[in-house]
Amino acid sequence: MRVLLVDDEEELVTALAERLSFRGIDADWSTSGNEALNLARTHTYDVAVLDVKMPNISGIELKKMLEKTGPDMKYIFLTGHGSEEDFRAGSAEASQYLVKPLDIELLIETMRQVVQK
Amino acid sequence: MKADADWQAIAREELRFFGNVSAAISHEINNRIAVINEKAGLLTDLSVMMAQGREIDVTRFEVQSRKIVEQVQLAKQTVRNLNRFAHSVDVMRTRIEAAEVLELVVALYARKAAAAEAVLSISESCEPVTITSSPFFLETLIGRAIDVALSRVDDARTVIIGVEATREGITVQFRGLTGLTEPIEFPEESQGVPALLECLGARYRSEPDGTALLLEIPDHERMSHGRTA
Repeated sequence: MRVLLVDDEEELVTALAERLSFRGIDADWSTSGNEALNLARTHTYDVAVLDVKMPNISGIELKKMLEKTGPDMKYIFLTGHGSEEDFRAGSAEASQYLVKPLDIELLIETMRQVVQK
Repeated sequence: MKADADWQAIAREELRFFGNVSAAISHEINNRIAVINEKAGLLTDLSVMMAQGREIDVTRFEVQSRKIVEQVQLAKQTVRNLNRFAHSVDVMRTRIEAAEVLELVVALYARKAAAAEAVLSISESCEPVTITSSPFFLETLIGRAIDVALSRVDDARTVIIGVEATREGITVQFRGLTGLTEPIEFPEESQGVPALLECLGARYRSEPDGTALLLEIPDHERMSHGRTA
């Protein structure tokens, strides 16, 4: 499974990518929507894990852009609080929706579920 | 005497501002917790791998531990700011160091500015001025001015904020904007701002070239002395 992680918190995505790699999951990361789009143009990913709230391009907007580069890619959204507002925005758009701080085993299980769908 | 409707508008505005700032701060604290969670998880992973006989560079533990401490320091500063902000409702009127209030509101708005791909910068020529006013009302008016400034920031993406003493009180300036016109328009959720301005005797205006928003706030001590003179 190849994963694209996108979150504007660099310390979070780098640690998460490394922890996923320890578990046999190939993860690339970026801290902005534009970087993520560049990666998606040159690589194929099974799943993208997107932070909902990011500067410039939000996770919701980024998903719409990424769909043009890889229509088969699946999506998981990350949010800070799981507030009603976040849920309304995310539930309509994402295959799955997880609240930070993350449980890595739950993230992996969720990624497997969305890829198998 | 102010009408009940005005006080209700002010109360709604203040609650909304308190809610907006609290939500942003809770998001920021949660981000620090999320990073610490991943760093702690990474340290656990490295420890397990080491126990299994994998060769791990021990400096990695030191680096990740230091990064956790950095995140804790950031979170502590955020909590300190939240505490100062929360206590600003303790007194209705007091002598205020304007630069301190500016620094606090700028810190509280840093993430919102980053989300708008802008930076809030306090001018180096900021004068040390004091004013008698309501700390929380003042924070609200500065915060709402930053909301407007972020929606009008020019291509340099830096709002430069300064304060200067005037005959009546202080003027807080928000420079680096473009196309600002009067009357200053506030977001729909900030409709209590006019009543709040009236309560403090303050006003917003723009520079004629539309590059700066000015918030003029009278000193209530000087106002009351003026009335008794």
